[in-house]
Amino acid sequence: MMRSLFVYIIVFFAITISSARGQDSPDALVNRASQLIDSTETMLNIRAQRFNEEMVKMNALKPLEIVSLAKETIPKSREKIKDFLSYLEVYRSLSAKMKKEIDDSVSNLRSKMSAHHRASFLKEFLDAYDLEQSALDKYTVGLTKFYTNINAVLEFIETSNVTLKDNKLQFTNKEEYEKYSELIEAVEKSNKKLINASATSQKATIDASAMMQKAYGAIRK
Amino acid sequence: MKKYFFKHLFLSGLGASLLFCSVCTSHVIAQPKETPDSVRSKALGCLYRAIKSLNDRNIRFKAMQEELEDMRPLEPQSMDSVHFANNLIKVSKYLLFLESHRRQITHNTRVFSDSIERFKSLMGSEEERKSLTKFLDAYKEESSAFIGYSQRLSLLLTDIRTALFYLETVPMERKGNDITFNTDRSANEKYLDFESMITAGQMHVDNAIAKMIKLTEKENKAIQESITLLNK
Repeated sequence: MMRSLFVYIIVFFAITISSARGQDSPDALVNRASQLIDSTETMLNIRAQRFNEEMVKMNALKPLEIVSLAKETIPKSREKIKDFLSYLEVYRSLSAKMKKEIDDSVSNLRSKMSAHHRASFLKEFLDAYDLEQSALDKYTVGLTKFYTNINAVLEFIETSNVTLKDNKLQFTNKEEYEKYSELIEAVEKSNKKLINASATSQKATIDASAMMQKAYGAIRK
Repeated sequence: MKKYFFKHLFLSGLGASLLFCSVCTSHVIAQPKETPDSVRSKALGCLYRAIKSLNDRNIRFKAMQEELEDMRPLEPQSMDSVHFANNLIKVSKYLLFLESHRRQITHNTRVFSDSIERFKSLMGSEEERKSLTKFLDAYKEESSAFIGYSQRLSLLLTDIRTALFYLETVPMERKGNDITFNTDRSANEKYLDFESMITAGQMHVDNAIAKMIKLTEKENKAIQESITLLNK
């Protein structure tokens, strides 16, 4: 988990450095803009790869499957979920910093352009980045809600009089069963929202990638 | 509709011969000092690999769709604890697969898109560049539609899982094809709600498939145009 954050931070600083240097001739500006698009795309690829690695680990956890609901397994699952929730928070905060850094870099490049080209320079690139980032943010917020709801179910099972018998959860108290059903319903609802957010984010990534390629072509013209 | 969709994909004229060609072609990244012919050959290799990947994907999903159809999770013969537990495991497995597969589609589209852009930059003819652009657009459109289909399938599976979670805990009796809930009426009403929710979900999946059929036809046309042009 830490490795992915370090890589993310290194690329983050690489973008900052690449956007800060260079001359102000038109060619130099085009080169710097190309570098910005290149390093952003590299960052997005690395970020997606690292994020997928984290998701693979979380998917392997299967915290609500019967085999994971033994009293000795639940605390371990909850610990991993807690770590993942922290990871998502750090991830979002780094993404927000990255977005600000990219906005600043574009503003800096625009300030060196003629007034005529200023507003449109790298606009497509920024739009693509925003499209991908906002969809991803919604997805990670969805993940946070989903895993928070799962954590609530596990916490409830940990503290209630539920037993495991014949591969099934058995409740002896009706109120506890109703509470459990309520918590599971919340998990399923958040899961459906997560599925929609995930698909939207994947589609946005495909669209954003095409927009970035167009932006790259546009500044090279 | 579903059966037609997969049959349509396999009989789209791009099947076995293209798979064979894709195996024969091994270069992806264009090297320096390319000749127009070598660029064309590598671009073709890239297209064939994309087609192979789409065919593999469709084979995998056809198998999954058939397994899902065989499951019949709310039919009387599936209403016992053994079936509930087995079906829950299957549904969870499919949900994980679909989620990771959607991420894989996005990754593959990105890689494929980068390769095509690279080949476009090396192509001498404007006609060839346009043809690759057209194919890439169709490929992306179809990938987005496939993500939409996978999303609908995941929502349907989530509804099935919710129903199974509930039914697993409700006392019931089965006599032949009749199910009697041994609690108040609300259990039966809830069961009927689940049934209609799942039927609605299946309709959404079918609509997503119908949308994909149209886009697959468009994609096939673009592929054939590109291949014909690059083979000249």
